[in-house]
Amino acid sequence: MRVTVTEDSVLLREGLVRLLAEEGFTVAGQSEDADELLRLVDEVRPDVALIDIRLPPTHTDEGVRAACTIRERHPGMGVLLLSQYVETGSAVRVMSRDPRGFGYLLKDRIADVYELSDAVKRVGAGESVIDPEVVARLLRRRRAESTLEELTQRERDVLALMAEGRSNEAIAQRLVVGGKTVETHVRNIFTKLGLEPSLTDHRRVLAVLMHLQG
Amino acid sequence: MRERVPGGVRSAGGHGRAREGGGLWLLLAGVVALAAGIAGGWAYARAGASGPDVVRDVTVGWAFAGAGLVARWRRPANRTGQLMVAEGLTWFLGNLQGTSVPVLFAVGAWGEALNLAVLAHLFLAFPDGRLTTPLTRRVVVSSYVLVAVGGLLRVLTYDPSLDGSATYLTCGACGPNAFLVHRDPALFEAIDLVYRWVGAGLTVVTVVALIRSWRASCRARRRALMPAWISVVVASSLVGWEVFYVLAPGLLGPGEEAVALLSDLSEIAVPLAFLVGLLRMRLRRSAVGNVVIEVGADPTPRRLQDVLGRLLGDPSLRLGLWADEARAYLDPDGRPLRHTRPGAGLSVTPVGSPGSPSAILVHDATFDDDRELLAAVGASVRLCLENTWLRSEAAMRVRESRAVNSRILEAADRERQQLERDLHDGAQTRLVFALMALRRLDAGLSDSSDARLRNAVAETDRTLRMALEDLRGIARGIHPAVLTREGLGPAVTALAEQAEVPVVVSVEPRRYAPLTESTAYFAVCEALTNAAKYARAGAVRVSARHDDGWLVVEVADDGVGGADPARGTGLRGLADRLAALGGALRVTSPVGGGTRVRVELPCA
Repeated sequence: MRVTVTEDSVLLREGLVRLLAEEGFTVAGQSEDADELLRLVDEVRPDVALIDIRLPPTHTDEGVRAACTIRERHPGMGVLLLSQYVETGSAVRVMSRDPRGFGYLLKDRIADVYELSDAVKRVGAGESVIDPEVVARLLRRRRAESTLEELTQRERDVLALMAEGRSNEAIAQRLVVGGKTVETHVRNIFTKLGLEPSLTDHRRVLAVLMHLQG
Repeated sequence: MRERVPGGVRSAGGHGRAREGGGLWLLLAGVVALAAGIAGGWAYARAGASGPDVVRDVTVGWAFAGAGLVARWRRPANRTGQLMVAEGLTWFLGNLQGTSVPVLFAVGAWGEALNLAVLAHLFLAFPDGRLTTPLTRRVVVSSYVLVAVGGLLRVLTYDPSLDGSATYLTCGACGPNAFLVHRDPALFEAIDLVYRWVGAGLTVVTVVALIRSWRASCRARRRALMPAWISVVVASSLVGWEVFYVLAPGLLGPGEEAVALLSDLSEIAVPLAFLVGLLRMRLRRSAVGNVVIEVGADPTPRRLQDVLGRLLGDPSLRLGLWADEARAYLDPDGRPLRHTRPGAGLSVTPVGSPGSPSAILVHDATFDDDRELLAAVGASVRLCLENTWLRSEAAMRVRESRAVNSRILEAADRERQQLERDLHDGAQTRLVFALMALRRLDAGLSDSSDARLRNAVAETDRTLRMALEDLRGIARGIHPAVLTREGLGPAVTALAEQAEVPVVVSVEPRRYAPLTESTAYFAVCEALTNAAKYARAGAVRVSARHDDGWLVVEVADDGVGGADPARGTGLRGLADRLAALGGALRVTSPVGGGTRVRVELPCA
């Protein structure tokens, strides 16, 4: 799988490149700002572009805007955003058009080789990846408005995993239950939240996130 | 700066002297008028006048003298009083022809028409007491010359024993004339005819001059002139009626006596009307005291000008404020004043220190003699203007200090933002990198049997993650990146997501100035901290909306209440920060009734 790395800190960028290479990814290129990134993806067409949200010159939302541009120009290309802070708004905004092949991870996760490579692989495969911390935040906020009161604890766990972008199999695996059980939980959640039940995986992530976002 | 001084800067010296000598002058003039009236009445009666005629004659003369004395007393700087006294005295001069003393008869015959010249002088000089136009000066001088020269020529040829109808007295036993040098009835008649025609001509010119001056007058002036002219018109028309009766007796029968009475009364009313006109102008001085009250809470130059114009009855009044930049006096609309020098019936009164008046009043010349009025007006204007200046200066100081404060806060805000970025780019990145390195180390140790080593690695991993978490919290406290990037709504939402208490957020999606956003954000932080820490709140509601140039942020909890912004540094500091930006903080926190923190920030 071919990836590019965009990160303005040399230290971190080189660390990421080495880590990804060790995990068997092909690092097709690296850049330190958004303009360079856009030229790079046009040129090398990676499977996944790994992008830090804060990039020069203003260190605000250059990464988010670059991600949107890439997803317009190269619809099939995976984009994984790395953020220092949890910002639910920008994550949901970027993926609201098309959640396929989009991921949003907290920077801390990259220290964990498994979590990073798992996320890159899933995004590369067209899945959605939302950082568990983002989901936790959304759930907490939603609870404040007490719309999730009706859900059982188990259903809330399933909802969180759905929001992270996990498929039914992945959820079953994680919770160590059968596929049928997960399907039942999912059905109940959708009914209780009043959501459209027959959605594909990536549509489902979006629906759940949008619901949580309010 | 000298060129700023408009003409006619006044000193109070002359005025003071006029007043000191006023008492003696009044006394003497009163005694003389009394004596003149008694002598005149006696002579009139001696010439054969009826009782009522004598009473009427003396009353009119004394009315002029008396009104003149009052006018002189109340308006010492105005010469109208003197003129009226002069009229009262000369009124009786013609009566001297009723005595049998030849010199007195001659003087009486010579000065018989002097009171008419004085009357013309009085009319034309009213109400200023001065003759302001060349025409009026010429008319008055001509009248006096006519009486002096023409009257003298006439009296030199006048023999009362030959012509008894040459005077208004029924002069059977008048004279003899001490000045008679040439007894020639034909010559006398010719001189007398010319004398009367020239007099009639001067009367016409006087009337024309009066009409012209009336038409050129402003409302204030007309108001002063009005009673006098009404009385003059009424008196002359009644006298006209009387003449009509004399010419065609019995035409209207018994009405004759009534007309005669009204005519007498109206003649007496003339001097009184002049006095009323004069004093009415004076009354305005007390009205000036109301300027400050009327201007009240709106001391703008425009309002001040309007109020002064109204109180003085002079709509032509203009207020000019000295503007250093323009080097000119500007009217309330900011345009340079056209007349800054006296002339054309206008006068200029400087306001403020005599050397460099900060303002001028251009007004009708009517008020010139009333220096007390002008001094009062000047004082009121100065008071109002100083008020305005002090007010605008204070407002400017407040604006300045507010600008300085917000610049300081902005600089501090930028520094915090920079600090946060430095933390992000430096320490946080290094910590993440260290974690990555540690992970690789851990992977390398996976088949090592040294449990202590692996524990140490796990311990280091935990510590690093905690350090990263701490650092993130600190950076967020310094300046949240999401605030800069996405604005108040997402930043407050992020705050709410981490709050220990459930928080419902409704924030209008809108961007404000960075300092406004960060102030509002930290206000919400403070309120949420208080809600979690002290209020034992079960739920909090945060709202922010734009309301007519203000950002209004409200944080309401359902906790125990009783918060006092005077205690505790958090709310105090917040209030100071808001005050520096021209905003306001309101905390409503009844005990047991929850706490509502309302923040208002000015924004474009």
